Formats: sequence, structure tokens, C-alpha cells
Amino acid sequence: MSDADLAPGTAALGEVAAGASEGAASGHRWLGRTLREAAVGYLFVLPAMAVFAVFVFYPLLRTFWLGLFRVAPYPTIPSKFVGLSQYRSVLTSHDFFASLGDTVEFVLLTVPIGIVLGLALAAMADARIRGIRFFRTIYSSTVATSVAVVSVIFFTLLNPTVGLFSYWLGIEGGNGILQSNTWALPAVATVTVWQNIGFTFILMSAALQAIPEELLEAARIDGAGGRSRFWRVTLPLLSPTVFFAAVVGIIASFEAFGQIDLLTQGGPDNHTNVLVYYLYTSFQNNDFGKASVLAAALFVILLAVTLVQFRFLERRVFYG
Amino acid sequence: MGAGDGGTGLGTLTVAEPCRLSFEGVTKRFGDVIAVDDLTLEVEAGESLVLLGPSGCGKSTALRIMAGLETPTAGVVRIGDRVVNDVDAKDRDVAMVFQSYALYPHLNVRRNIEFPLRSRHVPAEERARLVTSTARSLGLETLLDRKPAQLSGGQRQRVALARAIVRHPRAFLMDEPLSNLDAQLRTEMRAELAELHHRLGVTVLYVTHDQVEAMTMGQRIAVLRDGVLQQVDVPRTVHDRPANAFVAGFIGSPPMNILAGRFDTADGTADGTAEVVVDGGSIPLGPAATAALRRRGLPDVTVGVRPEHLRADPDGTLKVTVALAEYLGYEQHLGCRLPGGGMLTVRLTGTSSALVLGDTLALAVEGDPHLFDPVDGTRIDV
Repeated sequence: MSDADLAPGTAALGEVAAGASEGAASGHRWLGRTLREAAVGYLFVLPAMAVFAVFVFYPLLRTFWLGLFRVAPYPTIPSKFVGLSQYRSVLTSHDFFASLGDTVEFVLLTVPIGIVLGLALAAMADARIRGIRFFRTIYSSTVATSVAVVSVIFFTLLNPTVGLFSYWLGIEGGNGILQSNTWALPAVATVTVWQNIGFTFILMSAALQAIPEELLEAARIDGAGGRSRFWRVTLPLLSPTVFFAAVVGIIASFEAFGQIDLLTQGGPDNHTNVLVYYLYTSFQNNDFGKASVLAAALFVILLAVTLVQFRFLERRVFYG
Repeated sequence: MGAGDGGTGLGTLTVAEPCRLSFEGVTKRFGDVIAVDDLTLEVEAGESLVLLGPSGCGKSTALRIMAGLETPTAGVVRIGDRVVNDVDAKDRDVAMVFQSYALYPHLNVRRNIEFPLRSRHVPAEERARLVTSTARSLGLETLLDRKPAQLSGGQRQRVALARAIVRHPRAFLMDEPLSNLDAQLRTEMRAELAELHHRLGVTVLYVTHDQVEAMTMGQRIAVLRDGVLQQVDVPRTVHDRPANAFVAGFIGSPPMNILAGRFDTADGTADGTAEVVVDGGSIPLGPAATAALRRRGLPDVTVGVRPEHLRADPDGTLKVTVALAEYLGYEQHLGCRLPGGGMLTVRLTGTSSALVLGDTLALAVEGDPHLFDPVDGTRIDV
């Protein structure tokens, strides 16, 4: 072939050679084009990656790094590299476990109840009756309410001397709910559920309306009563939305801060001192090392919880 | 009554005898709209009755009233001898096949078919047996583990049917079950449904807007228009003796030609025949039709002529211009323009001479035309 290439004796041979070299060239061209396309692709992704790198990846890595240093109580004294010992001491401390316990309790009090209530409201508001839009608006209104406003309203309602709730519960003048070791966390959780209900309601309403009416009619004719229709048809078809609400809700609850800062500041006696608030107070006390360890721990816990949800819960989800 | 396998005893699942369905003066209003107007109709036990009409005529509403998905504004609905007005859909023990099939998308074929059995708490073993035999009778055995999204239109249709059959209901309600299928599959399924009805001997109330489906599937046809029942009869009678001009125009393919005609009551020949003058010529009447119009004594009459009763004939009494020719192989449909602007459809069978658009043509009418009252459209009996 190389002979023919060098000295084309006949037209036919020359053509064959030309064909072969053309094939090799097109191979190069193909590779070149793929590389070029990839380069253009990465170029498009670059701005987003740059933003993520600066505001997410770098701070994340930096957090893990900062956890390796013990910060002195006075700003003038330099931090000291202590390796993993700070991780060990913080993450085995009684305070950390108490805070983790509060956090888990808070998540368990907010997420399931929030989803069930949101779904129940959406199911009720799905009825085709006159004036139902009014209720839909009311139910979804908390979405447009800021956590600060919600906290101030409830702070007033729960006030031990002038609060309506204290009056209704017949405990006005006594110890306030937010001052009670037993009831402070459930109270903050209730406020959180109330605040989030609008979002869950909108999610569930949209999902409910996407279920074809005919499926529920078919189920009725197939002998299924109201409850049976809900469990066997409605809920399976809502499962992607419920799953989404659970994942997003758990993350949001782990990260709840505003209502706690405004209502209890982690008190009374650290009974509402969830991880984020514990982290925040450590940061306030200039203990950046401890705060970084807590932040890293929160990240790992959330990642693990979310992965577990995708691994085990998502199997029960039907994507239409 | 076994589904295909000749299965005997169905254990705890009570096999309902096919039963009568009746509407007695049923009316349904949606706001100002009357969807069903004083409908009185009975489907005999084991009968296949087709509710036929154009879209919006109230046929689906009537079916949904029987299913219990709509509550009638007035009237009595019965399944068997039992008044079911206040019985919930889930307790009526009728099966329904939806136009969209309404298969549960999250359940596989097996679970879809056994859904009604689970509602009735049929034990697992018997459920499995019933699902298997029903699936076999409809050729679904190999698809039992698939989800509806993985099935073709025809397969989904079969699953919907299986879900209806498996529970041996007292009656089947079918809401345009074939309209989402392509033409060839529809013809196949039509034959299969008719065969199934014959085999199971069940009561079927079938809704369609397709008159071919109605003619082939129905032992009787009920034609509905604007919520009002027009005619109920066996397909042959509905076709050959339509009760009014609407039914005449709706049944038959291509549809019947309806023309405004004038009859001179004083006119007539010695042998008692006469003719009706229409646009483009006249249509001869036999002695009986002539006598009927004489008795009626009014000059205006609506004339109906089926396309297959027109043929090209040099001595024909209607003069038309060929405006449209559709060659279908086994027959040819001509659209012919009348001098006054109206159209006349002619169905020619066999080989006929090549026709050129714009040709003038003389048409002869075979037999007596259908005669209707021009005011209310009712048939003038001959």
C-alpha cells in the first residue's frame, strides 16, 4: 500500500490509496471534532463551576481544614494546628450529642407532620366547591411570609403575660411555653410547621391536580372506597412529590435557624440548641475551629441522610 | 361463564347473573345545559346495546349515570330490579372500560387486572387463578409484569378489558373503548369484542359516535341527539327505516342524502305513482309512497336517498355535475353538485366508466326514497 502511495502505478491503485489516507484523515477529524465539542461544552459549564468553586467547594474544603485548628480565645494569639483531636473532642462531647438529639427531635416533629398536614389540606382544598379558591389562597399564604414575621407573631402569641395562646391554655402569668424545657422545642417546631405548610400545600395541590380524574373514577367502579382509593391510587401517584417534600423538608429542618434565634436563642437551658444554632453560638464566641467541626459534621450528616433516602425511600416512588 | 378457560366455580367471588339496565325518565342538567333529557331506555339482560350519537349528545353522560359517576337530576336508574340512584359507584358491581383505558400507571398488568378483586377481598390464591385465566383468554400472559407505559395501545385496551372481565360483573359499560386505536386495530378489536360478548353472554351498554361500530357491535342501537332519544331498534331497522331525518343522516357510510322536495298532491298518473320535485330534477315514487303523501296532503316533504340507491343512468331523472370522485377500489364515491348548489353523494360499486370532474351526469333512484316531515323530521310511514 505504501508503494502505491509513493508511486501510483495505475489509476485504480491510486484511488485505493487516496481512499485509505482519507479514512485516516477522517478519523483524526472525528477525534478533533469531539475534543473541540468537549472544549466548547466545558466552556459553557465554566461560569457556573467558577461560582460553585468560589462560594461552595472552596468554603467546604476550607471548613474541613479549619476544623484542624484550635482557635485561641483572644484574636491576637494565633490558631494552633491540632490535627483530628478537635474533631474527636467536639464530636464526642455531651453538648454535641445533646444538640444532635434536639436536632433529630426537631426534624421528626416538623417534617412528617408538615407533609401529612400539607397533604391533608391539599386533599380538602381539591374539592370542587364554591369559594374553594379563597381557602387555597389562605392555605398557601405562609409561603409569602418571612420567617422573621412568623416568629414575631408567634413570639407575641406565646408571650407568658400578654400572649393569646397562654391565655387560652390558662397559663398566663406563669411560665411561658418558650421558657419551658419540655415545650420550647415542640413550640418552635409548631411554628416551623405552620411556616412551611404553604409550600407543602402548593406542592401537594399541584401533584393532586395532575392525577387524572378517570383513574379515581376507574378505582371507584373497581369497588374501591374513598380510603382505599387514596392509599392505592392517589398516594402512589403522589409519591414523587412526597419524596421530594421529604428530602427538601429534612434538609430545611436540619438547617432551621431564624425561628430559633428569634424565639428561644437555643434556650431554655439549651433545649432548642439544634446543630445550626450550636454552630452559630460557637462562631459568635470566636471558636471558629469548633464551629467548623460542627459545620463539617452537619454536612456529613445531611449528605448521609439524603443518600439513605435516595437509596431506600426512592424504591417506593413511582415516576409516571 | 369462565373467562375463556371454561373455569367452573369461582369460589368466594360471587358470579352475578347478567342483568337488565334501565333508565326511567332520566334527566341530567349541568347548570343550564340539559345533557340527558327524559331518557327512558332498557338494556335487556345479556344484550349488547349501543348508545350512538354525535359528540355532546349526552351518551357518555347517560353511561356515567349508569356507572354511578354522575347523579341524575331526575328519573330512576335501575340495575336488575334494584333502584341504584343512591348506590355509590363502588357498590354497583358494574365494570367500565374508559376511552383512555384509565389503567393504573404505577401498577403492572397483573396488579391492574386484580385491582377490582383486591377491592372485594378475594383471597390471593383465587386472585392469581382468575388473573391467569383472564389474561390467557385475552393473550396477555406474557405481559403480566409490564407497566402500562410499556404496552402498545391495543395491549392497553386488552388490559382494560381484562380488568373489567376478571370480576364477572353484572354488566359492562364501555365508553368509546376503541376510539384511541388505529383503524386496523379498531377493526380487529371490534370483532374481538363482539366475540367476547357472544362468549360471555353479558349485558353491555356501549357508547360510541362511530356508526360502523354501532352497527357491528350492537344487538340494538339507541340513537341520541341533544340528550333526546331518537330511535331504539335493531341495526337493520335503524338503517332501513330510520325514525327521522337525523337518524337517517347519521347512520350509513357515506351518509344518506337529504333533499328538500315538493309534492303536487293533485299530480299523479293512472297507475297511482307520482314524483317529488327536488333540486336538479325529480324522484319517482311508487304507489304506496304516493298514497301516503296524498293522505298527508301537504306539498313540502324532505326526501332521503342513500348513496347506494343512486346509479348513473342516461334515462335518470336527476341531473348533476361531478365535483368530487373518491376511488376506493371496491367502490367509488362521487360528490355531485346540484344546480342549486347542494351536494349529492353517490356510491358506485363494481367497474364503472371513467368519470371526469365537471362531467354532467344523469342519476336514477332505485326504489322508493325515504320521506320525512320537513318541520319535525319524523318519518312519513308508507
